[in-house]
Amino acid sequence: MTVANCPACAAPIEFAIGSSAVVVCGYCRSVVARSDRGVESFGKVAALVDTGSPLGTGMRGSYRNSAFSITGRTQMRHEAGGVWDEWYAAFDDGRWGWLAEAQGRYYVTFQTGAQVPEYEQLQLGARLAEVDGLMVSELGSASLASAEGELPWKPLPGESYRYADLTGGEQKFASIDFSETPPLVFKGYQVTLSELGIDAGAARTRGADLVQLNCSNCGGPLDLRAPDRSERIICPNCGSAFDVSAGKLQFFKLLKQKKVEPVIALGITGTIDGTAYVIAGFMQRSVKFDMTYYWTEYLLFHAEKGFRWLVHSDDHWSFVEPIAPGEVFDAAPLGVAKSVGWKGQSFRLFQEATARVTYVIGEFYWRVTVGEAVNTVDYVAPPFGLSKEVTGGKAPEIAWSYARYMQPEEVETAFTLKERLPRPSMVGPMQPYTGPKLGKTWLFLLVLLIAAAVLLAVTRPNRLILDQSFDLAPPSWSAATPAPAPPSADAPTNARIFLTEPFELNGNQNIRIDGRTGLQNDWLYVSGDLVEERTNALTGFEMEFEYYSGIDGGERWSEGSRDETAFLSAPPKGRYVLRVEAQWNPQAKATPDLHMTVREGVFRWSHFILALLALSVIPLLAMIRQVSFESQRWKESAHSPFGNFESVEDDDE
Amino acid sequence: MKKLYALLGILLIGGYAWADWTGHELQRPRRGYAPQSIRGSQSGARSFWYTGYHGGK
Repeated sequence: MTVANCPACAAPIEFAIGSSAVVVCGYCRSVVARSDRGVESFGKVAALVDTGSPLGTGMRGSYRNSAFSITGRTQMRHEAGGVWDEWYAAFDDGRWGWLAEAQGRYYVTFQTGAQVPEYEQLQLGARLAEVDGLMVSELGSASLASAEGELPWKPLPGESYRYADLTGGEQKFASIDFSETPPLVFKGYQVTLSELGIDAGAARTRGADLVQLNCSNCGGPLDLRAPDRSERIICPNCGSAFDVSAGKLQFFKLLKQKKVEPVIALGITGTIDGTAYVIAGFMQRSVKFDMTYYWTEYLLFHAEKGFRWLVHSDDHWSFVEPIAPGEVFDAAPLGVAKSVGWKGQSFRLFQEATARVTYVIGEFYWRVTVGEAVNTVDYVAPPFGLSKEVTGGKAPEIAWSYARYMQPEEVETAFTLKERLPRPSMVGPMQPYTGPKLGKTWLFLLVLLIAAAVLLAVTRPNRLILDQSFDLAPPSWSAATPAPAPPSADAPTNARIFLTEPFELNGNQNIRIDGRTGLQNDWLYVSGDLVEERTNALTGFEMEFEYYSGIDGGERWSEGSRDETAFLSAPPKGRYVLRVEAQWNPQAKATPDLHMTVREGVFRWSHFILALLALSVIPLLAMIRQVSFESQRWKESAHSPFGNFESVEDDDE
Repeated sequence: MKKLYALLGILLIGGYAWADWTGHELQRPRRGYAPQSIRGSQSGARSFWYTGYHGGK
């Protein structure tokens, strides 16, 4: 430990960490460095802005089993306004770590020796192989606003430098500092306070106090719910916009905007996913295609978790939270990819547009104003969605957010609303289909049905009982076989009746009878009966053979069939004969032939097909319903898989 | 809905397997009793059940 006196005010200063380069005098805010000649002042820094951070110098924590002490901090001012803290942690193992804090998120980084391109060569959305493939999510410049405590480098008051922030999967984070050549690269992770061994509850409470101010234009009340985080507040009464700095207001301008009444009032607290958020701001945005579409967004604030969004569009609600851009697999970071991936889930492109702010009241963490425009690309994987916003200008940035669809009932419960919210009449982009999804159950039953069919097919005996040809030609009578008594006068002459030899049936198995004839351009009708010898009980069947063929216009044609099949339900076990009565065309040039086979216990494909159809009816109806639902969902998208995007102009025509 | 459909499906498959195993056919054939004399008309044209088919083109 080195103890000295501040060269500016002579107050005692202390270098507690051997490797620290400077100490900011706690009395006069001089930046004091130690050198061979003693201590030296490098000018003064401005007073610290109260950011309400739960961290403070002197606090101890641990990161990945390494204990550290917070020895100092710098306050950096973004070129677009706003201040963030960077805390410097001296680890017990001799390392320095940087603990950056912004919008309620914390990042631990350590300096590495990675070689990276110059600032001008970096492109937003590019992934740097030199930095573990992390994606450039933000490019900008910042200036040193203030500092305190012991620091490992010499901060020069007012000094500004360019930086690039990179993000990636698994909470990876990196920052490149272009204040030196070659640029300094810091790599690490986004972390939570608990991962740093810091008890958020015991830490200094931030943003808990409501700051009540008055609008200097209309005198109406202005409540600052996040005074340390807000950059702008817009008076709900008169639309006057103020810049917020350390809880103080500076008039910006009077916004000309058409009043929009929020469904949920500012200042109301609602609990979503176990966290109580207060509604800090409200805005209406719009996109213009063939007509202008409007929706509203509520800015939610929680002291520890920061800002979230509640989006309300066409009576659909969604809860939106920011995610690291580098976590999203996006083939076109600055363009529009057909689909993107996040945490193993694929999201499909729904629409891209330029969203404009058309109305805004309450407080915001950036300097929002009416007319502000940003390019947005929305992707959906119901009930979730991803949204990309690409900001250009001096500080280009890619921002991704993750949305979860909320049923109106959930919003009513979350904010304990007394009035029932209107229910949506159209299908929303992220609205989940809540009808039955029977695909998996159908597949399971299909497997069961096939298993049953295979079992039946292999166990059916398919036993051949009879295989017989019938000669339909008139019999030739002889002495040995005398003609029977003449038939009745009205009996047809083009018909014959046969009775087969008796055969045994095992019973409880179906019967298949196949008939075949070689007739040509003619017909043959067979009426058959399976007759039980003992009781004369019969089961009948019929077969109609017709076969015609020829050549017409040089093309061969045929119709009808020479084969017929009949099935009979299982007859009881017993002894049977087959009675066959055949009738044919009396003008036939030749007597047709007939061959028949009888089988017992055959597998029935048609029964399997019927069972399959019956099994598929309900899933088919459910699928039609779901397709109709999805078709409605994509009606408003120019990227519909159904290809049915219709503009309103088309509708009007 | 899934459970109800699964139950219906299992009942359907069970019914199919039972019907096929016991040789049931969906079509109801004509049934009756043949007169004893029909077995004596081996070569005749007498039909006890002639429905008068007049097929052909």
